[in-house]
Amino acid sequence: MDTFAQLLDGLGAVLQPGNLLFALAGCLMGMVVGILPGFGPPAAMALLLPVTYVVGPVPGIIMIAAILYGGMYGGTITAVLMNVPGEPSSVATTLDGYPMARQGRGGVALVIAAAGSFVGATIGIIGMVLAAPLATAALSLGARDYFAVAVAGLALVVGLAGRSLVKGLACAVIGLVIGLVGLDPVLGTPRFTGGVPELFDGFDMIAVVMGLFGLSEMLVGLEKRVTGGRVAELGRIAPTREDWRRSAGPSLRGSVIGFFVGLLPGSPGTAATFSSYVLEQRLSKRHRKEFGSGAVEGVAGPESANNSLGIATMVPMFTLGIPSSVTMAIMMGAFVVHGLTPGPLLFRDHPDIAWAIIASLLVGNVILLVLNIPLIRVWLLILRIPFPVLFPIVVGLMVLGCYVVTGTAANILVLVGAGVLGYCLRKLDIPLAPIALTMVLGPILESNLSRALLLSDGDVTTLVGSPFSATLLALAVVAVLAPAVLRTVRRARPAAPETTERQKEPR
Amino acid sequence: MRRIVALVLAVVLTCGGCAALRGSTVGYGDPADFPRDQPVTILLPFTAGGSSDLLVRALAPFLAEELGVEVIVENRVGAGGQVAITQLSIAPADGYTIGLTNLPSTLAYLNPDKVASYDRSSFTPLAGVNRFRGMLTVAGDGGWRTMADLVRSAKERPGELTVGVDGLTGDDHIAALELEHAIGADLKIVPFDSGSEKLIALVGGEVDLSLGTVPTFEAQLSTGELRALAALDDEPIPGYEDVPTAIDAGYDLVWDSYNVLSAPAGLDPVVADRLESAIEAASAAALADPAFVDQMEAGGYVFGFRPADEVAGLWADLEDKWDDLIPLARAQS
Repeated sequence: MDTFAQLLDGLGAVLQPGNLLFALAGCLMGMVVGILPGFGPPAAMALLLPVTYVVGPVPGIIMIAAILYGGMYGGTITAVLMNVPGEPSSVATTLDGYPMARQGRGGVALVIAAAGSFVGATIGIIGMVLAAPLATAALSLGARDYFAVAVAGLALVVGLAGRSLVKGLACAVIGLVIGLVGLDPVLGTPRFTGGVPELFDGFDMIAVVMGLFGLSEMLVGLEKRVTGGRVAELGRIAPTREDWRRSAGPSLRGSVIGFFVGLLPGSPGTAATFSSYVLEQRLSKRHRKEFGSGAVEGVAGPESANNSLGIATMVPMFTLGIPSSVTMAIMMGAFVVHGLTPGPLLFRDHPDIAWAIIASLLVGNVILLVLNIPLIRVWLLILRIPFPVLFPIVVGLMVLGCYVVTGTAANILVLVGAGVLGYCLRKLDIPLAPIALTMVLGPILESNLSRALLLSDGDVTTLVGSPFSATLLALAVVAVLAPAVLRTVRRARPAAPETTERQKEPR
Repeated sequence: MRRIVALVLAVVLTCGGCAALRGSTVGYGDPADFPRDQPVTILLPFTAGGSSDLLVRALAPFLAEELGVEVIVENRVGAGGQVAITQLSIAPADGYTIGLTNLPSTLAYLNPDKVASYDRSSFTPLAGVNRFRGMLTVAGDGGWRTMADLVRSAKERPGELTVGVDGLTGDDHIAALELEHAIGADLKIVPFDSGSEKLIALVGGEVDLSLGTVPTFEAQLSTGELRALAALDDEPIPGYEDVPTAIDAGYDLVWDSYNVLSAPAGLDPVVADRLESAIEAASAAALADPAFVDQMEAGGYVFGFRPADEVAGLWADLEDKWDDLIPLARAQS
């Protein structure tokens, strides 16, 4: 096939020592910056972008892409070992990754995450080569479709709520309220900002998730007067055969979910990682109770989804020249600096460069995997750092990270506020995960709803007017109602065996 | 005990971080000596990798060469630039802090809803360095081939044709208002959260038309996914010579945007002159560098120095125009 021949040519170009070296350097730099709590992938890319200017176009862009996935894996490490998500989409990884680390299974979690990321990236790249035309199809989706995506995402709250649905919903509302701050999408006027221009764009999501999850965890440690490291024994690093077996399915499914969500420009990565998490929770028959307290599926699925999504968000940029996320806007900058315009023209005028970059993603992910396995032993030492030493370092870095990317000091206050909020919610035994989901989805839901109604002159039926939106909204309704309906059915037929009931249960 | 040590360390680090944010306090030296072994910071209201960021970062080394001191580019993102511009307006007027006050987007302060703490008198314009030309575009598979076609449809179906804008009462919305006035027909304004969302909706056919700078549309124009109906400039745009200007089509509409460097108000004229001439010399040096020129061409920039008085005049003219249009934009949203 022609595309594969071009991909092979690209591979040939990437496998030159020079390019390999830049891919390696990018992975390493991205990982080192990404592992600092508070510095997620966007921070790593923004900080390291100037470094890529000094080398030529192909190595420069290979490097910035490597920084992106290096940074993503660095963010995974902080999520698993410190409960600090580098961006909202990494929150799903903390839900089971961090409990695993606390149980001395941090090494296993990191190996599974590395393997899952690799699978996700590989499936993403295959999808990118085969399914690029889908990106054009995704353009025909409009406001009502994104509204439906947001509603379906909100339905996931039911799966994340844990033991108490009421508490889960309360938490979801807190997230929605956080999302309300900013500019009103209908009037364009500031809302709940107290006249502070720093809040006109809403709360900085990265600062909020770091505070909610990372800072509150640190505060809990402070309260418990932890003096030693967080685990006594590092435990084994190699996953057991059972771990691998349990991770394979979630990883593959997560990759597919991540790819398709990533293709839709403007749909949040958080929706993909949480969908994968909730799906695995529902599909798991024997281990469902482990979710939230260290289920390996809960690491494998979201991690694969996140990486596959990372690759898929590049598709609109490569095929259409449209950056669909902050990180992609930074990547486009790297192209422009080297005198290239990403988009269809790139494939026409410089197919060698375009395919070399795509091939580099494949090679870079192999490098990342190979680089990581021996380093995991080193990262795990973080768990042994005595808390009184770790606490100030982590808090200091989070403060710095919040500030560096945007240069907005107000984000530090957001971080601290979110940390205190997270601490209080933990004390009330309210699950935090739904906040991360609803605060991202709320603004998307609101602005697309108002836009859809504006376009239809206020006709509400427009919301179910496209097959895509109608299907997703129906799925959302089923997902919300199914557990209640099934419970009633189960009560009516108490003799029915447990497993068959669960098989019937839709996600 | 250890817990207390930890807490104290955390507080110290946090405060240290916050203190560092205040920046170094600057002493006033003799203006004739400017600049003296102190870096000049350029406050940038946009994220890394954006068109303004790339331009300023590319120019910074040349400016550092001219001034003989380090030039630091600081991204302060937020509120469509208002965060950085507020900080610029309250920075010490000693020449060591300057910033990007793009026109017309900086004029958002004219909208009372934005509760901006500054206005035109808060700044000393230093120079313009770049201009982006504007364009009117529609989806490539749509029925409109010329601006006259579009205007005919707009008049047949008043208030039904949709124009995508990347934010209410911002420069894009104002441009859409100017279009409505120029063609004498009402359009339906559809706001989006970002420029890329607006672009996606335009290519996907969810909105009918859009206004913007040439580089925003370049990739899609080249593939025919978008069609340019009019150049919003005095003359046809290089590379798009077959696209007539709106003026040639009979509509009085010119729209462009400028990258402008400014200092806080109250800057000593000697220092202002020094900075202006340094920017002029740096621009000339940059244009002599092939790599810089390549980057400007690839990015669709129209790079070139504009003196301070020209920029000040432009600012005042634009402000007059916006004063009339802002109330209309607010009424529309």
